[in-house]
Amino acid sequence: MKNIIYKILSYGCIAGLLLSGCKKQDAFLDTKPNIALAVPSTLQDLQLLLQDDNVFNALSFPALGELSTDDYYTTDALWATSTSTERNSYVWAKQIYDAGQNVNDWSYSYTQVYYANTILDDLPKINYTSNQQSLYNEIKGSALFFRAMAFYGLVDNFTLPYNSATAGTDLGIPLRLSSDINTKYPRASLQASYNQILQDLQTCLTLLPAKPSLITLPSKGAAYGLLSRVYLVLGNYNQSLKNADSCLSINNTLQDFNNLTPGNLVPYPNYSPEDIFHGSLSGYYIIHRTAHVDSNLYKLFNDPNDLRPGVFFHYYSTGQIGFLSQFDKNGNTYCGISTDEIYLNKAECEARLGDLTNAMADLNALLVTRWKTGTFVPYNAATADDALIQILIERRKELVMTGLRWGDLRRLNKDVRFAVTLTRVVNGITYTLPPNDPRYAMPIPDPEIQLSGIQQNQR
Amino acid sequence: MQLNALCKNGPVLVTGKPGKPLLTHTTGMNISRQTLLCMKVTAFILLAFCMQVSATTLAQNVTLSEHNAPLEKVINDIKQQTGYSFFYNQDWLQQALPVDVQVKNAPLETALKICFANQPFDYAVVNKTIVLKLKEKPVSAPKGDIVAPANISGKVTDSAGTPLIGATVAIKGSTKATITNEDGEFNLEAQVGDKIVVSYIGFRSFDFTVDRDMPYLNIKLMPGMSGLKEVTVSTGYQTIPKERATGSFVQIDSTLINRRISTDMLSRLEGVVPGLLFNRNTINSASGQIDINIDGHSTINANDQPLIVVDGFAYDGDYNNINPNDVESITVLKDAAAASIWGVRSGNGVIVITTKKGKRNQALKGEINANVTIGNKPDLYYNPQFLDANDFINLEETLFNKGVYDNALSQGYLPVSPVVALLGEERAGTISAVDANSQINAFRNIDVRNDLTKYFYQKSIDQQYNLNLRGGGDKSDYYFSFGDDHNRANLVGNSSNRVTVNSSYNFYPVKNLQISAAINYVQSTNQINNTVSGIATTGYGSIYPYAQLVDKNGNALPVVKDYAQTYVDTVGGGKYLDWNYRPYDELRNSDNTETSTDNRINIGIKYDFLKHFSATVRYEYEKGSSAYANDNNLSSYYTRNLINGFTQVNSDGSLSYPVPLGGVLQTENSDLISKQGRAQLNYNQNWNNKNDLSVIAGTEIHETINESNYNTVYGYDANTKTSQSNIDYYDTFIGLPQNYGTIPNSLGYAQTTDHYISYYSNAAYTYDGRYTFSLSGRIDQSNLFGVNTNQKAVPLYSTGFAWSLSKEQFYHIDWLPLIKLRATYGYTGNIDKTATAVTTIRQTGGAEYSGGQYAYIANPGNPELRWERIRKINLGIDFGTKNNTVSGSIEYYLKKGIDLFGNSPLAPSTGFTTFYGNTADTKGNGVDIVINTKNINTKNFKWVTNFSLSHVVDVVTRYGVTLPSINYITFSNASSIYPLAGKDLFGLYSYKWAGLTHSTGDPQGYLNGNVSTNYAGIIANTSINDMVYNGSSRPTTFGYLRNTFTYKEWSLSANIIYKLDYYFRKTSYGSSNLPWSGNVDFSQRWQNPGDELKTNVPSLQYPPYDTNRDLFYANSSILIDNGDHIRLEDITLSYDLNKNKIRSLPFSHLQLYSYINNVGILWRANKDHLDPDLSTNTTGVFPLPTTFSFGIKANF
Repeated sequence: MKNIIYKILSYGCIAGLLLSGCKKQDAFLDTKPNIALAVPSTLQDLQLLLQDDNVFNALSFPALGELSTDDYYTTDALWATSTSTERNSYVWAKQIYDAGQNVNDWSYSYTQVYYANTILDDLPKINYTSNQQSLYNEIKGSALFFRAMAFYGLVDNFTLPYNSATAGTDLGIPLRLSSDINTKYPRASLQASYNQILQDLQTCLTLLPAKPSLITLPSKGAAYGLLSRVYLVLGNYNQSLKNADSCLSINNTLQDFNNLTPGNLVPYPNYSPEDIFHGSLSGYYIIHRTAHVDSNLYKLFNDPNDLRPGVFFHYYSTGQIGFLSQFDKNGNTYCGISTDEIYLNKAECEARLGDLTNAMADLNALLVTRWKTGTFVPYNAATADDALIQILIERRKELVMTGLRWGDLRRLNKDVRFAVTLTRVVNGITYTLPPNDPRYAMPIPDPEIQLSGIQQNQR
Repeated sequence: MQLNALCKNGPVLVTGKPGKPLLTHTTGMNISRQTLLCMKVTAFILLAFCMQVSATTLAQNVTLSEHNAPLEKVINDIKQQTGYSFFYNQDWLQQALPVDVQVKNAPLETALKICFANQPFDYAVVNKTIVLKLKEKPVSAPKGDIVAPANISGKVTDSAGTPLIGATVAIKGSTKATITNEDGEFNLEAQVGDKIVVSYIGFRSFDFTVDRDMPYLNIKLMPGMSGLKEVTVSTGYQTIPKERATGSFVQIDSTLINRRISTDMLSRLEGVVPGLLFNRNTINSASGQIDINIDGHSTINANDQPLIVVDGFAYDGDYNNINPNDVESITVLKDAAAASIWGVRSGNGVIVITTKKGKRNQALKGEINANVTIGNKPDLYYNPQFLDANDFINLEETLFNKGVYDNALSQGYLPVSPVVALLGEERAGTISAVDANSQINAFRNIDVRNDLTKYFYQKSIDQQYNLNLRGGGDKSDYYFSFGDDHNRANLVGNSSNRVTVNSSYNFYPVKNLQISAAINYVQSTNQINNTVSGIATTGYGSIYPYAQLVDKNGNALPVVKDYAQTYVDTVGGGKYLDWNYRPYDELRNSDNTETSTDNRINIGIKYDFLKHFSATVRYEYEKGSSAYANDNNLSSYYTRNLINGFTQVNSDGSLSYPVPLGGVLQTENSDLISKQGRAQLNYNQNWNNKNDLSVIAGTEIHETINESNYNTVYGYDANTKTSQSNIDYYDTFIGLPQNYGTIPNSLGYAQTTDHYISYYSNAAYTYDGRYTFSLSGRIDQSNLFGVNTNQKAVPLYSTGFAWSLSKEQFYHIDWLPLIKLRATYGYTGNIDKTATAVTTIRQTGGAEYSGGQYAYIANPGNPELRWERIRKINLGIDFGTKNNTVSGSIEYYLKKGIDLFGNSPLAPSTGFTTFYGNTADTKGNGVDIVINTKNINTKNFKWVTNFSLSHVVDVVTRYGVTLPSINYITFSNASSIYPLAGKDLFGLYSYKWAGLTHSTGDPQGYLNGNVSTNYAGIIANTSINDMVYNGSSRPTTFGYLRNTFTYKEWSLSANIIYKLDYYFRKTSYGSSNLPWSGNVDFSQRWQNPGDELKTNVPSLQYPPYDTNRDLFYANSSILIDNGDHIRLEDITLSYDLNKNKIRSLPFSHLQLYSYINNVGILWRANKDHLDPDLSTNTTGVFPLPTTFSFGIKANF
């Protein structure tokens, strides 16, 4: 009997060795199951991931803030047919999502973070030749930029406004820096969150090309622009100004509105020449074409020679005014980085830093392109404060419905001169959002709280 | 005394009076195992003859004239002259002495006496077979024993009590022997102390010593190693006697396979395999695919179909290519002990198909089978979703007056029905009211189903021809078959033809070596030219009931399809191509062909060595190709519509054609290449005649590559096979009427590769035929799961135990001579190819903004991926009463699906909101009961009943994602799983119903516990717990009842299939879908207060519609019907002619048969006369028409 077992074992082993001894076995078991699928293994693969503008650009950025701004209003009838997230955001309710609901504004941003982290994690494993170094750099820089962009959108929507005194202990966002989905990340402090954004952006500056090959891809110009925006939020006007300058040194093109056709559904066949980085807000019907321009805001366009009302807005036969040029060629709400914003950042920083002349010069440089040729009378300001007030009004008008108003409300509310209480009336009930209200931080979606155990915002 | 001493060694096999042990089985072996192995094949024939006829006298005469001739030659001479067969071991002939014989017209008996005078053989004539048997070496009688004469008599039976006719009862060491008669009885004069050997082919011989005063002996013989009566089951890796199997195997023999008539093999399994359910009410079934579950459903998202094995290798090709005429037998492996040897592909059960083979040392034998099957046209009037023309027109008029069609009419080009068009013209004043009315009224008596039935459907005619030849010499055997199938479908224009050529050869060049080679070639051609599915009017999904397709003279008439008729008539001022859609012309213009070939080459070497070992190496190569070509010529509507839609009018009024004037050829080619190799070591040993050990171990490598590509060319000319290449796919064209877009450019390529490396082993040990222990294990590695999972692969294993209780010493229940208990435990596996271990990306084009190439992450990496596992515990009893009057089995099983693939929620900050991985579990249990009875068993008339009852429940125990209730309620059906923990896998859900309102006939549901007509509120607020859970949408209790009557040469068999304990959602009408998606329920609707007492069909609602009202009603519990039904599946009648009976017959056996399939439903629980076997998710499915077959089968 022993003999038999011995024989069986030995013959079994021989048979097994026929295959297992073969080194080709691993290669055989490593074959791609589907030729259309690839394990990212080349720089080209990663570059193609960065070109997934469905993830990084189109309807990709949080719009909850924009839903809550005073850029627009909607009618009771339209409000009633909106989704609960839209209805609740509109009236700044404490709870804004359905119970257990996943919210794109949160999850899309983290999908971008996952993509960026996947690219950053894969990069060191990839063999490349020395003449691919610039491609390697561009990929790395792009991933860092996209991650910073996603983190900034999250901070802008899901944390309290920045306050340098408390930022070290205020709640920030989970700073996911690895593609491993099993790792848990708590909410970092708000300061750490901004630091990470700045760090990613500073690093990518050294890696990215000055101008992008596609408007949807990151570039040095876009990174300077975003740095300028973030420093403005942090109240660091020197740095914001410096980065705005650097940005404009790469691209300072402004569109002459005299060359645009008023009322055109799509003002630009492709992209505005002012566009430095193209992106759009996550899709909400309430801020889409049915939204009406806030009447107080519209009143600010009081100069008949200002071409913007014709280009910006759509005039319904009912007399109501809707949005127009804020939608890109795909019909999405634009929220990228654009030279007009950078001009306004620059002017504001100069005014705040007391450089009255340059502040007004930069503002006028922008506005002259918005006026009928030959009719623009340059703005004047007696004091830096006067300049700042004028610049902020023009900022409000110029950047309507581009996702920036929410961030401006958050930071300007710190200053009593610019603080506003938002008011809305729905079905005869008046709702208000006072400055610095805890509702300036959106609730984090339930699944995130339940599954990763991070802390919810108190509203 | 000797008797007692022997009792310790073995079981009682011979009893005198019940309860008193008399004699025991000893270890003597009179016929060696090798002999038995060789005899196995012919033994069956022998037995068949034995059963029928008692020993005949040797009436045959022979003439022989031989000097010093080999015995083999003489045997052949006798065979030729008498037609008798010989039965012996080829090896023995080496010991034969040359023969001298000179007889003329002498009785066979005389001739045999002379021929075998000095030979070392005994012979016996049983029926028409001469059985040779090696003489024993003489043994001297033991000294000192008292020699006294003793007359012994008794009866020899098998373990089930069936008499064994022709068994040899011989005195060891002498030439004295006798053969049992047709009752299995014998009488032999012996002496006390003689050793008597009782032997029978295929059974273990049994010996005992003659004692004084022996009573009448009842001798039960146990099946031997190569038991001829016993059933063997094939796992694909080895063939084992069912006696020694622990697992749940169902063996389907050729009689049962041939009971039904069909082109494909698998459909013949319906209603004959306990626990095997054909899911007829699914989308897969409705689209013509086979949808089977064995013992329930064991996965959620992975492949749910059983693995098909043909001649030992997993079959990767199209199962329609398996010609049932080539199939010898089928074994269905159901539990873990049976199936786990197939590892990760065994979770849904395994169907092992063994094809016919040649036989060594057998003269050429042939078989011809031809049959024709004629099927009725489908019953189009069955469809409950139909509104007759009168109701349809009345509704159109009402809706017209409410302005529903105003927009379409004002656009001018949008399709409106002819009635709406007439109403529009009447309103516009272009036609008088009288004219409009008379035209409309003429429509009221038309039923489009008449034209459809007449011109688009036909009687199906399936013809099947098959010829096979087999035979073999000393060093080889062969099998060759040719099959030809011509099927005309019941859809005009659809047909399929199949040619199959199979051949297999086995060579035995030297002793112990077998070389096999087989080639299978299949070619099939399908014409798919029927266009009935395209007749629907765009946007409505159906055709208006008063459509006329063909005029009185047989000319095709146009119907409204994509555009309004007035638009089609006037567009382009006649310069455009004819834009009419004429269904009957489409049928004739259609040229849509699919051709496929499938080739399999199979080679193998088997070598026996070291007495108990053998090694096999086998390799199979399969290549299947299919080519699909749809030639839309310029006359076809598809092409005309496409060309017209892109036609550009130039500034000078001339036309240009971005889509060239010519045909549009759509092609798709796909290839399958499968390579499988296997090295296996077999070990078989029996020792002391009590211990049987059989072990196999092997390794296997398997590669399957599927490739496909598709393409569309424009300007195609079928005559010259040319097309135009300069097509502008990039620019956007603006054409009529509102066509805006680019020319479709379908060009694609896909390839998938599956790689497996597997190691497997199986061992079975049987002690004394009573106890069997089995162990089986397999490790699979594949390219699907990445190297990590492969490196820590754990085996899917099983173990089983079987106990033949009836063979125990203490077992004395005479009326129940067979009781076998089985228990098995183990794991089978399953696979889901959609998940991968590493992060994979997929490249594609058309990015949202750039429009260019980009890649997305198709699968986040998941190094933790594992195979799905199904744990199954199976308990079974096999039983048989005396003479097998009642036999059968009862099995109970418990299943657990572990690590099933499913979705579970993930913290969205990971980048994903759901995770697809091994996160779901299921559990199930079931019973399979099989009872076979021989109700009447006389010589001329026999009545056999076969009955099975299966009950199976599969429940989700863990699933990570819970959807809003509307998903379960509106999507749950028999075709797809919406898993909900705690509920049936195929659970059916609905909204709670609260009747119709009295005053308006509105349907009512429950909102927060209160009766409500707030439909939006009900839909939004019905929680998972508020849903009505109706039960499973797949049958949970099912089985068959088959009665077979045989009277002389006539045989009549009828099979009844029943499916119980399940539910389906019937369709009704919804106001917002009217009049197009009509339903017979419309006539039952609430019309006046009080109607709510006699109907549950809501009142008609006019615009503005509340679509939520329709949605609520369509998914309310009132529309859930019980699916229980009993169906008379088929009836078969056959008449057999045998050369034994009719000498003039040119064939050895001839059978005439007829068969009726899909006879009809005998009973159904639902009151609406619906066939619950139809998928409620697919429109245009009709009950399977009854088919009638006639055929002839001849053996020569």
